[in-house]
Amino acid sequence: MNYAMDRTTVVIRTAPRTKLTAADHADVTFEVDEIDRRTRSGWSVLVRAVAEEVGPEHRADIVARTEATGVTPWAPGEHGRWLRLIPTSVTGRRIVPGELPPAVDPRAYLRAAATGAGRSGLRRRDTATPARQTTPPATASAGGTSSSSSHDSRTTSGGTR
Amino acid sequence: MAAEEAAPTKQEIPVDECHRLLAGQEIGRLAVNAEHHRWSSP
Repeated sequence: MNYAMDRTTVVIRTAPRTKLTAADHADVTFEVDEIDRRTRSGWSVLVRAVAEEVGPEHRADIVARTEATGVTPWAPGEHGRWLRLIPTSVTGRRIVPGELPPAVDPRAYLRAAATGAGRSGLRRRDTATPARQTTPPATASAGGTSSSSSHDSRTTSGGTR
Repeated sequence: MAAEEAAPTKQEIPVDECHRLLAGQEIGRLAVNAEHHRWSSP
């Protein structure tokens, strides 16, 4: 259902004599989410609240603020009742996508150019230096000891004071 | 060496950001526990 916010209170509208009007003073939960199928990520927010139907017993400013949200139900039919969902807790979770590999690995192109598979000498010359970078260090996949000692030696030589 | 793919992570959203996200949407789902009846909106 559609809703609007009055500060931290969720405002919805409903018809008389529906199940929702029975929710007056009831515990409710209200959930909002958004997903991105492409990155397989998203978030959801869950509001635990007490529902309260807005009526003449409410202060005028509460009624005015509620109606000022301008919630207009998308669903057809009568929706004369206003419900405020007064939160008792608000929690949210998010799934952050991992870093995806590039669609095209640029090293694949550079490798092809360096081996003469490129279409022109110009490209072969341009890629001469990067092509060397594509060669993984002998210690890169050899485990932590060799790799870290290589890193340490670079750090030491560059960081001498 | 192929580029490594980092795994997705799950994070808790701070309350103030929850409110900001709520304010930016229009549609939600409501579940009610009233008079011993449970009901949820489509």
